Amino acid sequence: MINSFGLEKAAEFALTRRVGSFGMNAARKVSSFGLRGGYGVFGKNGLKIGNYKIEALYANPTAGARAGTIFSAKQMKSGGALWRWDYGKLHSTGQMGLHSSVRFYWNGVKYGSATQRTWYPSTFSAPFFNPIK
Amino acid sequence: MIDIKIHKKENNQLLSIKGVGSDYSSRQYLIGLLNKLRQFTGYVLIHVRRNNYNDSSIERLKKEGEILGIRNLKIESNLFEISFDFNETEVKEDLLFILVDLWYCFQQPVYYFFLNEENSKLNYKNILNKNLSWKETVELSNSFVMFKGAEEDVVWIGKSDNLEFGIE
Repeated sequence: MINSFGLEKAAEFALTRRVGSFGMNAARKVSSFGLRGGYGVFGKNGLKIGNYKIEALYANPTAGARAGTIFSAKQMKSGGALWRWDYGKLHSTGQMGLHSSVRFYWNGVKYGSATQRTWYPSTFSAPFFNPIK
Repeated sequence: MIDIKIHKKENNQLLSIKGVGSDYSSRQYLIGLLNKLRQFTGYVLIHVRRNNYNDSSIERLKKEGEILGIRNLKIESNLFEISFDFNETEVKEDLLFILVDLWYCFQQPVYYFFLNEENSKLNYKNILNKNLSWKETVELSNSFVMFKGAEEDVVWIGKSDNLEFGIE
């Protein structure tokens, strides 16, 4: 298993072109990210389950009024498993959009995707997720 | 591979750098970037939120903060938030490595670089308490604001209108 954060590259797929209508509507509805003073559904501490932390609907105030995270589940260790769905300005377009960061382990191998695509798999055939070296 | 974009829609005041992962070369790139910004400006405020994992650099800050030259260190017990500031001329080089570690172990790291110390001190409280956006901050005082947005491997830098990025 690759534990070094130095070796990991977060898997990511951004909704830049083919934005699903559900995803975009969800983002519009939560674009203020103002729940519980911007701290999100589970507050500052989040919801802790074992070594995982779940958080939802919280703001990233520095990035701008409409930027934030819709959902985040992360393993609290360097290079740990992560599923995060953000709304914010994207490097490629300079416009607001949805972005997912995903990494997980299966049989000791770290998987993810570095391609840009919709937040849902356009195909379930391999290699939607690729091993991360 | 590093890809730099200056965003015209933000009046050329916002720059993004894609490809800054957590590998060795990315860390070196971050060190270079931080060095350049701190030397150009001089007064730095660090504000990191939403801890991804505990890291030895946080313990080091607690134990050696004063020796390293930082001031006003505040660490929330649940590690939700850490803030401190420093004068570029008074810190040890080791602090740079800690700043790089903090960049990775928090989801929302924000590094503020100010040109004027008096202005910056007045603004520290405002910035920390009011959760200002990068744009509001750079309008408040001559400064650069370096932060992370939606994408893990993208570094965003906002600047005051009268400053130049000077980053290639």
